[in-house]
Amino acid sequence: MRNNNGKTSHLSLRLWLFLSVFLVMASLCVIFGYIFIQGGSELSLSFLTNMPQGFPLGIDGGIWPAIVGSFWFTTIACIFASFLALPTAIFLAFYAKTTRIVSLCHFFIHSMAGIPSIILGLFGYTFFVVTLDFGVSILSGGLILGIMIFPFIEVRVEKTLLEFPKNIMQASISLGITKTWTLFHLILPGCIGNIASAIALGGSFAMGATAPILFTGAVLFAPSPRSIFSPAMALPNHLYILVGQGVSISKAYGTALVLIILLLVLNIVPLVIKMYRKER
Amino acid sequence: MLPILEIRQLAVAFDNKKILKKIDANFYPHQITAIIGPSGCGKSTFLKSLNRLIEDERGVSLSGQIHLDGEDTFTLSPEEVRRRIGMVFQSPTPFPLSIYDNMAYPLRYHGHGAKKNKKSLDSIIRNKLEDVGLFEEVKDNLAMNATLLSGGQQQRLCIARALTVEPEILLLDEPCSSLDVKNTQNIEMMLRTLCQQYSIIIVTHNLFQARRISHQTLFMLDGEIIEAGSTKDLFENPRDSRTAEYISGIYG
Amino acid sequence: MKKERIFVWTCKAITLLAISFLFFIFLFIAKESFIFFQKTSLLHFLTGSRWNPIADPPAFGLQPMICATVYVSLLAALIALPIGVGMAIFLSVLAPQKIQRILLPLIDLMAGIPSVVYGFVGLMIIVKFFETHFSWSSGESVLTGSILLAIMILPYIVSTCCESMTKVLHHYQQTSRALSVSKWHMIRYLVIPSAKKAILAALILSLSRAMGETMAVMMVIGNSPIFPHLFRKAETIPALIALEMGGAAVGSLHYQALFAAGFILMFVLFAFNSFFFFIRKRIEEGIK
Repeated sequence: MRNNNGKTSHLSLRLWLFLSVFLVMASLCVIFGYIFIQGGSELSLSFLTNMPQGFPLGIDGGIWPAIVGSFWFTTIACIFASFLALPTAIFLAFYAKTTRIVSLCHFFIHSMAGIPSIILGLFGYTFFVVTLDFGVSILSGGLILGIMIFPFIEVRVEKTLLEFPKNIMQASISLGITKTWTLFHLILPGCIGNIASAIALGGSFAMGATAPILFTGAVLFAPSPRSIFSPAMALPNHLYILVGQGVSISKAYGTALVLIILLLVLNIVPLVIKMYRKER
Repeated sequence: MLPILEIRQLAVAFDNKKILKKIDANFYPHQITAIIGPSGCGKSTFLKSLNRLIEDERGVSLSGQIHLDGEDTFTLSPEEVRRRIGMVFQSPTPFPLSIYDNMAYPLRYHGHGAKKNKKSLDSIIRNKLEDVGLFEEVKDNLAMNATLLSGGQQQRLCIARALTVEPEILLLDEPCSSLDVKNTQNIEMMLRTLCQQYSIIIVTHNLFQARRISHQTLFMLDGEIIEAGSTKDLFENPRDSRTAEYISGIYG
Repeated sequence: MKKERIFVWTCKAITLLAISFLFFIFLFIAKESFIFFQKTSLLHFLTGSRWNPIADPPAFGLQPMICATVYVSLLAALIALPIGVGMAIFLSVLAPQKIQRILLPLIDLMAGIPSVVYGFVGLMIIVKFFETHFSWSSGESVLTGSILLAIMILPYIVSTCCESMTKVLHHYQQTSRALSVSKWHMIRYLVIPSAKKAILAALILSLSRAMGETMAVMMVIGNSPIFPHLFRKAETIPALIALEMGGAAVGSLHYQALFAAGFILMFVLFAFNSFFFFIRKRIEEGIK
């Protein structure tokens, strides 16, 4: 029995869905559109390779030191995070003896993922900068960023390891071969693509983070860092300064575009890896 | 004849649920022993206890003794036990490597990887592939990825691979259940030849297969061995009524 | 065998090290906070409505910031949830595979945009919008922050719900079609009710994310440490810490107050997550 009520409720349903889709797509287009269009006009070789100049600083010149600084922050973050995440994932996937240990560790790692980035910045400051006396440096900044992306990488690597066919691993063990040897000669080589993707994606998160390095590594102005104990500029922080201090909106768009492009590159890495493996 | 493998009071439980209940069994050298029984009776668990693979599962508890050539296997390292007791699984498990590397993989681990031994590596690989009747078929394609082989070829490769480490006993867990009749026949013929060099224990749900190839048969039910004896006697004159009931299917 | 034992032991040790950071973080924040709470009462800290670290004597009342953090996040979730769920329904039920395969990664990409970029664009567009079209003296407000935050948490809601809805769909699509039920009917009476769990999970996830968000909100909310009103400026706890940390001398009362604010933030998040954890358990049992 069809009644009009049915039809009107479906109308409101349709309206709701249409509106939702429209709003989401609009947000997507506006964000990317604004940055690419406004920032595109700012992009030039000199913008990329020069130091910030002028008064206030940054109103002229380029953002080269920020690019270099971001590169170093991200690299140290990825190295430290991988150093923590890979053994943890291996341990939880293959060597942990009880499910209780695994659940407990998962709970702690999940909690770590929920820590606000500003709190990480606070901790990074009091622990790395002050207590360990690394000072405001790319080391301090990189380490705290590494802690920030550690849960992200660990979860993905563990998932990949667990997806490796168990019967193949058992076949190797049945040949009298140790788990560790199997891990290094069979499992890890099979998972290396996914592991690299996870690290690349984690790196993209580290590169975009502002709060953790606000007082631990990033500074208003610094030349390209000489050692890991030097402070450095970073793209997101530089963007914040340009906007927050009202220095230059056009340069800000340019900075935002460079940052987004670098992030896109890091995000494309997993896709490239996937395609390369499909060919094999 | 002295048994090559003696099982005494073997009990296995998972999270306090008993799977194997104090099993005693003997396996004799250069014989094929078939283990038959309905699904869930513990056949696979039993097999995995023999090469101590079961210990890797979470929540498992074991008791009892397994004597290989008089030595208690629980005093040896699991790796040593598994080298001497090899295993082949229900679905073929070729490594995602070339055929050659699949065979070389265990050999390289156990110390045959040195460059000067390349010749001996090659000859061992050739011999084992010939033993399973695979060499002629793949000799021109040793660099091909093993996962591209057919199901029957993959399973024969897995058997050849297991033999590279020269085990004393070979365990097979329903090795033909995912293969067609022709491949099953091939493997059965191969096992009959192989038992001259090795001792073979095969779990099978195919009563015809057990009847065809095995010298000794064990019938399991609910984690216990109900009856064990020569295949001829067990099938023609089963002593226990449960055995008779189970195998009555074979005669329709 | 010895090599194996060393390797396993190393992995175990590194796992412990990684997890210990969680406790280090908690300990260091707590340490400074407790020093502060010995000097100022916790009650005054939580209920005081004036925040003026440079006054004499300095006033550390966190109440406006606590309220602002919760207010902005709740409002953002309220705005984002219906839109996100709607989008998820569209993607999982109505959109053809090809569109799904393009849109879903694009939405995931939105999640990867740094918050400072969101703040920047929010400043350029939303704030300007309020200033030009509504003639506000300043476009920075709680509402602005909530709208921006809502956009930021949309991807999490969409992907969580989409995942669960696609599963439900696979399960029931054939049956529903066999009963010759229209897609709309199926959505209203089957997909949405069975996705309740996922919607709740999406809500929790997005609220947690929203409350910890620093940069984007900071750039559009105005940062006045006053009690939050929808159309006026306010300041969240993360923004407070980010803005004042640079000016606080190590070991000073101000420094410790900021740590205490961080501690309260962590506590609020923890309480919130636990609350929803239990509610989720109740709902799961209710469904059974």
